[in-house]
Amino acid sequence: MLEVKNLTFRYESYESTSSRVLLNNVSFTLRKNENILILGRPGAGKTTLSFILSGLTPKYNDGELTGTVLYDGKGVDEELEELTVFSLVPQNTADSMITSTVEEELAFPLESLGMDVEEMERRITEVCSGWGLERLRYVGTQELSGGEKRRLMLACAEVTDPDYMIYDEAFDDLDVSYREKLAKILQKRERASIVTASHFLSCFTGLFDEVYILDGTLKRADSHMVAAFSEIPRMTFPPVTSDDVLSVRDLKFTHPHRSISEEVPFRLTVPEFSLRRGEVITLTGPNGSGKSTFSSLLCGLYAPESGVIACRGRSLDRKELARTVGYMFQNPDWQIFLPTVRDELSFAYERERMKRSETDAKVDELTRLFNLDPGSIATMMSYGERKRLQAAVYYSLKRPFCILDELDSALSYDESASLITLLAAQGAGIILITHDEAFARAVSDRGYSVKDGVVNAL
Amino acid sequence: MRYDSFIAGNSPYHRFDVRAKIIFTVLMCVSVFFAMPLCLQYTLTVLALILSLSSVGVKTTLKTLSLTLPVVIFMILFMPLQERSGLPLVTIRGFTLITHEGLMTVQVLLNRFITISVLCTLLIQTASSRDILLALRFFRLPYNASLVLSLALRFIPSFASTFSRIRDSQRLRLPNPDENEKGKGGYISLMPTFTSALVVALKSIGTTAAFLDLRGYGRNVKRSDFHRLPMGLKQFTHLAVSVILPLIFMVTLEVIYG
Repeated sequence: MLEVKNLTFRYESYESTSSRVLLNNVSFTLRKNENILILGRPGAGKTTLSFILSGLTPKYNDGELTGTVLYDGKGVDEELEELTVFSLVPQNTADSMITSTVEEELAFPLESLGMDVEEMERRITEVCSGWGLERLRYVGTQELSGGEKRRLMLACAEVTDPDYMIYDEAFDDLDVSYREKLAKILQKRERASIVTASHFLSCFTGLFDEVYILDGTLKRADSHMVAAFSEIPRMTFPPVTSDDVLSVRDLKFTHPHRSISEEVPFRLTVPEFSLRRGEVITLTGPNGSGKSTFSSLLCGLYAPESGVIACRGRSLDRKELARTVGYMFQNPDWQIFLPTVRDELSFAYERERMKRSETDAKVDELTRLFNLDPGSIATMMSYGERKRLQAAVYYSLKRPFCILDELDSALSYDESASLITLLAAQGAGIILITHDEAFARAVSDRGYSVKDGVVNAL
Repeated sequence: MRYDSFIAGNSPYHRFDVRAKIIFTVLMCVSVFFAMPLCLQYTLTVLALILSLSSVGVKTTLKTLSLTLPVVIFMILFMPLQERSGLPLVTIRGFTLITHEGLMTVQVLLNRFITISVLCTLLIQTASSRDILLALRFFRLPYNASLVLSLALRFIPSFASTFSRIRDSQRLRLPNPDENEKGKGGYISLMPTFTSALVVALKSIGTTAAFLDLRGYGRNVKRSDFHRLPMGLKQFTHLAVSVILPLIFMVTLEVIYG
């Protein structure tokens, strides 16, 4: 049994940052073969709690921790050494990989256990097969898509066959089929599992013995509280009046893996695609199917082998595409580089040589619209705040079209919906990439799906 | 796209045993410092380039060369000024700019630099980091040292990839993503990209250390090895070739020009 008693934690405070108590007197128990769900808004401390339960915080993140975490009566540090008691599937997959290929990543914990080669081979083959990684076994970890990285982390956590599993927002990035697969694994209750999430997905129904809400303290959730995490707010977008259409015809692009020789490299084909300015559509599809590749082509990061991307009936080159289509990357840290929110938001206006007073007025409007504090240090804000800042930057750019790459991942439905509504109100044509079917349906009844490298209308 | 890490392939150099490749690379890098005529220096450079072209293709070889370009330009511009004794070739108002000896020295240094760069890059491009590490451990490199190298081999391409993604994403958030090309001069500075890349890299240090711990690094149990490099007649032949060929070359150079 996992017993968490009176856990209180605050991160070490730094100059110009305040340090609030993130977890306050958190207690719960998890019996063998039980599943619990911890729901919380972005920044509520779900990842911190996962790291504490894994013995990694405060060991690797400075902070003040009181309370106890006991696995079968033993302290978490002792059980971390065991390696087979618990595993963590991290929210941040990119920084959690320590080797160069999928196979090496899976072999590393088994080598740490001193396991013989035959057993390692058996286990690696099994988890690769379970998480659809056979084809990617020798591929470099840096070449994996977001969803493939998540599947690798799931396989990596499973390969040691632990008694307890901590899934930190592990459903994010997974496509529908793998979400169902993970749900089935939880349903079997072969081990005790803790799942953290920012929203209550439809596939969660019936999976959990207990649902908690984390908001500083940890409370048992009733159906009303859960509903707040599953209700998708109604989004109303202004009517489409523009005749500007971003259209794609017969687009082809080959994108082979570098780290393995492939007889048939990945190829993206887009027979036909159109997006009217002011319209909001969705782009869905399995992990690694080519959604990000298509997005990169649309905003001019890659050059297609053949085909046409046009707007107002005129074919656009890569430079024109970069000015026409904005791409809001999933990771906000890639696009934030200035000290404060004010600096970030005034950056575009200053480059357009706008007057100081006008810039200040625009920045004030943006901070109000996106609920941001202009004096905050951008890189030290919560994930949700950084996403809002990133959206505000794109709002200020006024691109005719904008791609939102998994905006809903790790954000609450309310926050995702409000950001989409704000960007759409400006008249931009929006493509939302998402794995959440319910959210996709709520956003738009028109969309495209990518399957096996082919983009088709839904 | 990244050009600084392993590229899968089926060329003879790809199939060459990784241990032999390391020995060959080290010995050839040493051999370029032996005394030899300039034409032989050029021949070595051309041979290294042919090896690269046949193994990783034109595009990647050109990319490797383009990465050496800043240093090459720096050497061409400033090295002759250091070596101004000898037969003057270019003189301005009594000030000797280029001498015959200076020009020769630059050519020798350039050839050495390009040969070493191409061969070392080719090693990383034709051998997976796993195989390089297994080879280093075969040469009795301690596990901790090889793990540090493993992390470096994982992070250098990862950082390069992150850097290029950040540069792309930041270009896309500019009012005019092409403004640097239009001479407005604003985006010439790489500081914003460095800042974001540094933040991302710094944030990843703690996480990586934590996940090494989580995956069992530093446990008291002796680690096992999932992979071992094979050692048969083929590998022995490769090792012999990788040692004998450069040694014959070096001994010959020493006898004739030493």
